[in-house]
Amino acid sequence: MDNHVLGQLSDVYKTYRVGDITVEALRGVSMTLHRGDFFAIMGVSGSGKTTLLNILGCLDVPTAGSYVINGKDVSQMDDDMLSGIRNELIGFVFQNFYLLHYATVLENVLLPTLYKDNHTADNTRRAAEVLQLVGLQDRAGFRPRQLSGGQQQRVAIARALINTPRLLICDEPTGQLDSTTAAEIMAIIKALNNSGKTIVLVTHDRDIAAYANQVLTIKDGQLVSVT
Amino acid sequence: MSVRPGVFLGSFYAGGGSHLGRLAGLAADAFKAVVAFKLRAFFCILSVSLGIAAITIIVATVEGAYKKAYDIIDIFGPDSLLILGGNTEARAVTQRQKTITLDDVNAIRGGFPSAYFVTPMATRGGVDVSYRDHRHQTLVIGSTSDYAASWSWILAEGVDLSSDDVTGRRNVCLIGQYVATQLFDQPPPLRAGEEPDPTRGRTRSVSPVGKTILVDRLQCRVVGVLSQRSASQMGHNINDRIIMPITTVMRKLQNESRYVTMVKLRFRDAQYLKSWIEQLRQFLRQRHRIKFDQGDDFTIVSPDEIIRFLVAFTGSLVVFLGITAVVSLLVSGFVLANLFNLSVRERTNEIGIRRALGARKNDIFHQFILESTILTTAGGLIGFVLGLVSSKFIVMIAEFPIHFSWKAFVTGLGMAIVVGVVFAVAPARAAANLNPIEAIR
Ligand SMILES: Nc1ncnc2c1ncn2[C@@H]1O[C@H](COP(=O)(O)OP(=O)(O)OP(=O)(O)O)[C@@H](O)[C@H]1O
Ligand SMILES: [Mg+2]
Repeated sequence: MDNHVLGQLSDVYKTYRVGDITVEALRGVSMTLHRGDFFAIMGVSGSGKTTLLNILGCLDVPTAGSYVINGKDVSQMDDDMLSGIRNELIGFVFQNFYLLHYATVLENVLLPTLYKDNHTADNTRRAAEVLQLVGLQDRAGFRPRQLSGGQQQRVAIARALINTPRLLICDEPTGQLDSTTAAEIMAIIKALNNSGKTIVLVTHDRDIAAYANQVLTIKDGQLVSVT
Repeated sequence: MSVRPGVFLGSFYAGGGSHLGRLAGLAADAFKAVVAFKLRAFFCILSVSLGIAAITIIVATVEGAYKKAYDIIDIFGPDSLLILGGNTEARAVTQRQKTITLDDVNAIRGGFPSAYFVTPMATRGGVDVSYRDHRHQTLVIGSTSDYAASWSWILAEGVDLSSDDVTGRRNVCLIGQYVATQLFDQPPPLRAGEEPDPTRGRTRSVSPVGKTILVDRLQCRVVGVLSQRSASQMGHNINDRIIMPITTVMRKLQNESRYVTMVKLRFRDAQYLKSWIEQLRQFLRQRHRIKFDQGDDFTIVSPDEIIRFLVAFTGSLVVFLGITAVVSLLVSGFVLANLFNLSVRERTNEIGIRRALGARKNDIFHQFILESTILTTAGGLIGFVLGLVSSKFIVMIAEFPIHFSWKAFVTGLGMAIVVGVVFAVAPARAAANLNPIEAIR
């Protein structure tokens, strides 16, 4: 297997069943994530973008088909192992930031280290590093509510980075932000990609998608075009 | 490829060392959440602390009862028996209270050489005593010589009753501290226009020793004053008494030549006390010519019996408090469980984020158990203090032996932690089993 391959989706189906109705959110999706890839995924609402991200991020597993991440098939993993993969290999950035309002910026950033298996790493120093990277080193003691939307998203990025993941999953990270702030956030994400992080980002905005190296369009649970 | 067991176990044990570290991190994190959700914290702590306060008081009450019992036995003497005239258990209306004679006492002395102390006593309650214009009513106890010595009751001043006092039927007495206060202490001088206040401290300007007081209609010289003995037992002040030679009491106060009120015995080999009691019983039954189908006309009080009495006395209260405590703990448990169910619902999003960031189901489960345990531990500590304070009031209202020790503390805290763990299991499990993708939608 290619050393640079981080994840491999092969003919993935995801079917949701709600009562009598079954929804096929993904219908035979295949894609390969290499180290340093930057994908933007576009598509209308309900086309299956978030479902795809959830599977790539090991928050969910395929109904059919396989997903191999870091050389291991997720269908062979139990819930704890998936949690471990998310903790070590994957960082998440959400549209709504999803910070804990009762914790400080620093505590939010440190949250993923709580679930790490080896506690040998110097977490506080690492937290300072990632806060510096997103330009919030002097906001460590603030509460999320004392920050602007853009700043909150930076905190979320710092939190996603603290365990030095290989893959960054971003679901409409700029959806709540004005265009100037969105550009600032995208600059950070682009820089991360340049330093080797694999990035998969969902957006409705062509200008945002333009930051990516590859733009995928998804329609009714199928990838229809690769730019 | 399958995972070899060795590798798997190896990784398990390698992870073992960090388990504690992980738990410590979770605990610190849980503490933040506890502080953040103040309303939940307030109601959890409130309900738990009330339950634990009740538990604390119960444990302290039981302990107090036993301690009191053993204190009394300490004063009574663990090697001691008391023989009372009459049968206190089955007291027939016609039954005589006066059944123990001085001859019985002498016979016991002869028949039980291992009883190193056989002392008859004659008592009379509600006797009027006075010194000048000070009046009081008290218990008069007629004793043989060396009263203070044989009851190991130190004299505050003066001397003990001598054998000459007894044989000579002298009008002498020892007085208890309370009697001394009532008869000899002066209230503080009144300032102009001031009402007398009985609660203000009295002062004693004269020594009672050598003074003559009036006991009933008997002129009686005070030869000694007993020291203050620890407060009172069961509402009965043991410092409120006068001791006179038994001969004087029988002849001059009771108009009695034969019968004594009770006999106190102490045995050299206390471990056989049970068999001494039986032998004594048979001995007295024989002397009193009691038929085999008739009950005793006397009562033997032993240390065991005192304990039984005291425990029975506190028993009903303990049962009442026990039910209260169990109910209040259950109530606080359900309050806790409900508050945590609400909290889990309210924090669904947070749980989803934590799961996305790598929290295992167990981490979420532990988080909520820890939050709950921290709260109930705080409730337990506050409950203990609450119990301590409210017991002060109980003691003030109903004179009751309450004793606080580490046992009450540990029991209360232990119960609090148990409630915290047990009642948080259901909500914590619900939180752990939330589907992360649903939770962050
Ligand atoms: N947990 C679920 N249970 C049932 N159906 C679901 C679930 N999650 C997604 N779906 C369905 O799957 C389809 C894809 O949903 P998904 O959230 O992936 O869309 P999306 O492309 O992210 O849309 P949007 O742009 O609005 O975020 C939708 O029809 C949705 O209703
Ligand atoms: Mg979506």
